[in-house]
Amino acid sequence: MEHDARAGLARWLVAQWSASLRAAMEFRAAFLGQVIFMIANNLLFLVFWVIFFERFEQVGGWGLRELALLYGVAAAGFGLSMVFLGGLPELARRISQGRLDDLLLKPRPVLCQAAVSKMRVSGLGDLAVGVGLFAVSGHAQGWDWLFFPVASVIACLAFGAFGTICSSLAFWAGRADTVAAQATHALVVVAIYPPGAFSGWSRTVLFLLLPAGLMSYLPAELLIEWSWSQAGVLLFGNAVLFVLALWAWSAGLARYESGNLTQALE
Amino acid sequence: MISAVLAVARGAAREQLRYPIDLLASGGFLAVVLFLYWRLWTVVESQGGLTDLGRFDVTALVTYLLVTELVVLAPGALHLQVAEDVRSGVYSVSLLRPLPHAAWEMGRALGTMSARLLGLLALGLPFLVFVVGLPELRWRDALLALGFVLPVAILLECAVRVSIGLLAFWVEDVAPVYWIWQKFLFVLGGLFMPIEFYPDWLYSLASWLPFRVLLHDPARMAVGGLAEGELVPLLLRLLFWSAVLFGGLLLLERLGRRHVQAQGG
Repeated sequence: MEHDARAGLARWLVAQWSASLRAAMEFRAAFLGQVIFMIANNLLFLVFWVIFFERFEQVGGWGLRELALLYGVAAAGFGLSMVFLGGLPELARRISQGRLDDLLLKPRPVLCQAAVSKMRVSGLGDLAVGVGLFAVSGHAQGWDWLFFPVASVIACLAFGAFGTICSSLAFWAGRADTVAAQATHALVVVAIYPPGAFSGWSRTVLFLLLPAGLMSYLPAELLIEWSWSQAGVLLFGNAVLFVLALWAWSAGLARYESGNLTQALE
Repeated sequence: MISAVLAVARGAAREQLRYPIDLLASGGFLAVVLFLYWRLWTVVESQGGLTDLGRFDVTALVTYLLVTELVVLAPGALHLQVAEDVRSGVYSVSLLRPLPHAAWEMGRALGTMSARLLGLLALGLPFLVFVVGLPELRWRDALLALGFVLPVAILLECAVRVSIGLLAFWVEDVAPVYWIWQKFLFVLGGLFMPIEFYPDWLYSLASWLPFRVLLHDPARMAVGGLAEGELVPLLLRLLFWSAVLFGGLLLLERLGRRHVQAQGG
């Protein structure tokens, strides 16, 4: 019975994503424009790092090749989350406006419905840049090609879990969309900076307050040099983050108050 | 007209100040960015990387970043607001106001940036003063930069964002245009470090473009100070690009207004 429910949820998710993709591709020019502009956006930002490392060579053992790998993991994970969990950036606003009603009426997990309610195709540009950077980083050899997709999915889930925790603040604080947006933005920014700049307490702060370590630092370090203990930390840390996200969401949803806007907005 | 623009600015500022947590969230983001670069430059310095950068040590570089980030963060998502106004038809209603639309937009920008500056400085400044420390400043240059060049630079960035928002008359989604503008601004404007640190060819390129007027010039003037004879060229650059960017805004608005269709109802 439970197996059937899971299979049903998986089929529904695939159907949602394929419908969103078809809808996005209806407007071919806008679709291609978003992807191409996002690729250009990422590449322009990388120019800064090329200039930086041309002048300073390395930061705490991280050079341009390692940064390309780190950026690749973060961009691919972020891109995946924008494509497959594109509704999360709007979740806090949806909660504060009391617009979860229509989702509560449907026989699917509310968080899943909210997360997949939108597909941001610009994420495909991030994904393309991520794969490209991994390929040229000099760290893409043999088994790495198998671990990179896993690392990207882990980064996607870490970003999604952190976004869920931040958005769930809206259940308690009311308007929290700017706080959630700034916090997730901060995570993305931190995730693409060379971790060689952080050690001791500053590294701990970044792992605990903004889980950039779980999103990009540890996956990238594992791609550079595999370590079972690091892999264990990555899995354990993400499991804790995931449980925290589900707890924040469930506890918050129990406090949810409808805005009675179903007919007007949906 | 100035009093009307100031009235719009007051209204926009009051609207922003109604949500102090949102303003502080922006300040929190700024503090995170300052923290990142403080650590980054500290490691670079410990590796001996800052020895040939003249007056720029870690505190000067982080202060430089604080000033450039103010220009980038203070205007907020003006371009998205303007684009939404165009798409939803609010723009056509705004034409009824007894004030040119561009002036109304700049009034809104002025109010928004003033309130957001308070939020940004509320967390950014204590971080700089108590964690990083203040650099040695040449007070005359710093006061002129912070009191005049920086506010003008922020207003210019507001004008660019309003212009990007007005592109909604022609394109479905203005966000990609903003991404590209923003990244050119980051790199060619010298968001993270002064453009003097760039390779010669890139420095020459950046010198001819408007981006340095928005970021590098106010921050460099505030932190590094100006050498003899640098002030007049800087002010002339500012004047020239102000004319170009504000002129571009007025032109776009005039062209966009031709697309407005008022259908009553």
